[in-house]
Amino acid sequence: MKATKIFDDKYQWYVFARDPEKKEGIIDTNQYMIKSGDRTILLDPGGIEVFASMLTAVLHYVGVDEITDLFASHQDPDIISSLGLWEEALPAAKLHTPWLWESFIRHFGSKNIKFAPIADDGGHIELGDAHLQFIPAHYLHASGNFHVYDANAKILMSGDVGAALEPEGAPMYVEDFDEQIDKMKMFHQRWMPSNRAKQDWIARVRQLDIEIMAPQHGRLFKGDDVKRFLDWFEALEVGIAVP
Amino acid sequence: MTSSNNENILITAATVTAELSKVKKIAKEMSIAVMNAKAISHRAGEAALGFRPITDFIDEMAQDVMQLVIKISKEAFHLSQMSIERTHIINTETKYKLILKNAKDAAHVDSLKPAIKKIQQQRFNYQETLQKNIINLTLLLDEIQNSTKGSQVLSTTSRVEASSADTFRASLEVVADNLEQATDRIRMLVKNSSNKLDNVLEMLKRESYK
Repeated sequence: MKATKIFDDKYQWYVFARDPEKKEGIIDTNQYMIKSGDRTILLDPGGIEVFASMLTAVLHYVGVDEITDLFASHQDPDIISSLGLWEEALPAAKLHTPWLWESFIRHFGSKNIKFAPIADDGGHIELGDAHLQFIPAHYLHASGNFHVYDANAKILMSGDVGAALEPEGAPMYVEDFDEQIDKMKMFHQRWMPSNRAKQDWIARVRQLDIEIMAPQHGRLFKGDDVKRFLDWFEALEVGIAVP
Repeated sequence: MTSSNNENILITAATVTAELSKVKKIAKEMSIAVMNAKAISHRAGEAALGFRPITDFIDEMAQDVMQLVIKISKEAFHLSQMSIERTHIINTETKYKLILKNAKDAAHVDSLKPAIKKIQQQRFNYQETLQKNIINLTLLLDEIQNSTKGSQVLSTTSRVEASSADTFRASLEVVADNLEQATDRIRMLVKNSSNKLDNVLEMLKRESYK
């Protein structure tokens, strides 16, 4: 699995993606990691199918004993079905996840991990030098859903918002926003159920200073492409499958 | 290999549970038939006096079997749960070993070793617990066989007592025949379950010698 450092200062952000070992028919996912001092958090650590590649890649940067926190933006299998595998190596780690999904996520073979439920209006954690905010993103697409914002790094980990269905080996960053639209349109229209929730999220996110918007599938948005995305998303009608 | 062995355990536990639900049904039918026999022997009066204590024995046997089936079903469910957890541990161990191999050049690969050691210990523990669980199940199945051991004698005695029950003879002979058939079926189903569990136990023992 390819690892890319997307922020490097007192602490580091990494994205792990484009797994060449990934089985056919499984959606490609971006997993994120923030290493800050003696603490490390994995954001949307991925499904069972990518676990081996993901942990193999992670071990190049941190030991399992340094992984203190996990974050699951919502309950989907591609986000956190690997939980039962992770927890065998991380007996003391905490899982930050929407309170709404705790009892559902426990179905992923979880026995011992400590849950840190996130209330509907969000929350934050201090991870060494990193101050991470959990930004509500309910109904985008899951009914309980959070994104992670780091004001210092100016990174918004935006879960399924900004996601795209890409061919294998796609670049890590959006290179031409207009070309990206085709890869994102169906994803957002079909997976996102609520125009009202979408507008509410856009209004909230426009207040944030964002240099990189980092979705869980597809490419990351950098600089002006973040604003381009918000404008495009604002005008897009979602929840289109209702006949 | 261990993963497919685990599938065998799951299938065996499910089969034992299914076979025992048949045993329970037969025991229940026996219990109902006994109530009927009690009524017949009551109507037969003095002529079926010797038949009444026999019906008490049959009823007691049916109740014992039903109680044992409840216990065995719980144990079999526990066996399924254990084997599912063991599957998870076996899969986890496989993945961790693969990671250890693939990440041999990674700076932090050694941090994985304590976790692998812990996982292996868990697998050994599951192995032991499963073996104990299967032995318990086999013992409970033996108890059913022991409870029904006297059925042959009971049905012979029933026939002898039925022969002196005048007009009720035919009805009571049917009770004796049914008892024999029912216990034969129970013993056969239990024997099948025991054989399956013995095979799984052997398989687990072979695995632990590896």
